[in-house]
Amino acid sequence: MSETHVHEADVLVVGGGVAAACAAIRASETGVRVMLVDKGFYGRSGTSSLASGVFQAYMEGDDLDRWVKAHTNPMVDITALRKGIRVTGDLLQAMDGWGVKWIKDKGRIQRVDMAVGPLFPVNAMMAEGGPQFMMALRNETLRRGVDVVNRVMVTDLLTSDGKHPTGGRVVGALGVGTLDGEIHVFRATSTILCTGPVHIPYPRAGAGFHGMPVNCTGDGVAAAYRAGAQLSKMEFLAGWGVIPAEFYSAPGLEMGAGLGVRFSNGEGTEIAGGDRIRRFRLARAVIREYGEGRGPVYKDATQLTPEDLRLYKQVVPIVLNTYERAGYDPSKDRIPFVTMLPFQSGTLGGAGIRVAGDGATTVPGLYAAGNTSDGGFMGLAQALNLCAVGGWYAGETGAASAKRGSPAAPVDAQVDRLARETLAPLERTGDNGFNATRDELEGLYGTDITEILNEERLDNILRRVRDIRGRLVPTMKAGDPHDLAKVLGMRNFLQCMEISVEVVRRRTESRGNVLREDYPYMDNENWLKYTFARMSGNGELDLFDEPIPEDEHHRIPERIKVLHPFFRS
Amino acid sequence: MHVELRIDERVCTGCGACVDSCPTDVIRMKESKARVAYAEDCQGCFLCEFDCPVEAIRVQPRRYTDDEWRALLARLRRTCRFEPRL
Repeated sequence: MSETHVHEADVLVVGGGVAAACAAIRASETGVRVMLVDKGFYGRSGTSSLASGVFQAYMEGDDLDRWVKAHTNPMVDITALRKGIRVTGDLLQAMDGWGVKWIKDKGRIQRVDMAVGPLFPVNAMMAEGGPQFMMALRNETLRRGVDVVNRVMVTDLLTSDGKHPTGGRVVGALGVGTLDGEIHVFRATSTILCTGPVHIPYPRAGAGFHGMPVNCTGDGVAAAYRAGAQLSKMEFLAGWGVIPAEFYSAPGLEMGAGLGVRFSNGEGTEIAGGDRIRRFRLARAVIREYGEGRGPVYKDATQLTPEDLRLYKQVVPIVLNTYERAGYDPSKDRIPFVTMLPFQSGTLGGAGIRVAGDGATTVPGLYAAGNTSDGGFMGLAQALNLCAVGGWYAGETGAASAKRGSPAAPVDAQVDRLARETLAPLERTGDNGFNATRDELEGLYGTDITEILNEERLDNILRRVRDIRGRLVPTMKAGDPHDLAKVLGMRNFLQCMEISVEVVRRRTESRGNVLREDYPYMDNENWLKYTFARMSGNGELDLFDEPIPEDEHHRIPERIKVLHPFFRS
Repeated sequence: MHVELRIDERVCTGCGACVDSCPTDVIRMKESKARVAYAEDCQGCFLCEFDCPVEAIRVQPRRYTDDEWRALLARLRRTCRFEPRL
């Protein structure tokens, strides 16, 4: 076996986006020893560094009710949301001090109208894009003395009883170097998972897949599930959205819409614009145009003023650079947009590890934040702002818990077993590698996986995913440590996907951006419920639900079936 | 991916900034120069180009060919049809 590195910290943060940064910074403020481990290079990995600079934050004098009213979804905990919104304001000011470059006018942070989209329909602040934003957070983290380990993929959690699922607590994590294939053992009193969303791993070029980041493969979600933590809202991995065709860039849609971007079809007819770019109206319009053969659908920013286009480019540099480099001039050319199929990106619906309002998971010693978590039901999809808040909470809770204990020794037999399993693909021979497995997986999209799902297709998807997991995952070989990270990512993604398909099948209704043609109604009679998934003692998937509480924290609608807004026309 | 990553060896100073920048570990140092080691894993995020201090890197996204567009439109025409059971 390769060399093993052993690390020890009070708080271990896994991941390198805004949630991880806020968790590490908050924990370090309390005086505990903090270590952050990143699959890539911290500040240049994951989702946040690819994000737009849009950060919706509360400012003194804002109408809190206006923010809260935007969230009519009964799953949202309004009290938690109100608290979280206030924290966004504190974090905005703190980040200003950490070196995030907000767009300012005469020294005051500027705001732009965000009229539309799945985010809050209120003004937002803007930084100069995700790359600058995350580099500032990286520098602040290092300034505070957090130990950073780059290019190590955490593959599993270590538990006090050496078991998966555990009856004890999480005592750290095990990972593998993506450059050298060496094993890293992290001993920690508190472990905080912030590994981003569940995204399809490294899709093939030209195959109609669009979106980033291709290496946020649900590693934290899958590891937590194997260790015994409950997952929630996993059906929302089957949500879908609209996204630029050809490229791998999505963020900034709401900002563009706020500035006046419109959508038109292949015949040049406007299908959405102004206040018609509401989530489901845009979705329905795009689907109808493609289904009736009037594609491609285009995003049209040609009416924007040169000043607005400049601002757009400043805040969303990756997207605008991509357009221009590919030969599209956003001031003259329309940009093709397509749908993104279900089971491609967990950023849209907020599927993830169940956490309480303070970031604690259902397993002692384990915390989660950002898109890896369900967000504690502060919102559904979590943008940069709520990911930051979740990280802040988890950092605080994890540090407080770490102060009361000390790192426990991991169980040697478990370390040995997990290290062997992690490195196994490097030892395998045969024909099956990442690409062969990926190609079989991609064969599901556009056949059984369609924008609008139904029971028959879900049954087929489940059968095929189970087959791939049973037949191909155990035989995937990796040529080198770089390849190993992809193979392990594929394993994790497929595990999350199977759970998601099971939950979608069970939820016999349409809700949020998960749409079923066989159940087009939001069933408020039977499905005002949260869904959860956990691994039972015998390793089987156990699904259960809990009613959304009828209390002052939740907005319970009338208990009747209503047609989902997508299907209303 | 739909991206071609070009590193101009004559301009590259071998500082390694792009190696750190790449989220998917596409670029590695070889003989004191940055080289594209895993081209198919490039997601076209531009981070390497943003971070290169001497403008030695160019991220070049490729547009769909006519055939790729035809295939995608045919797929969308098929999958974007639905009949809600009202």
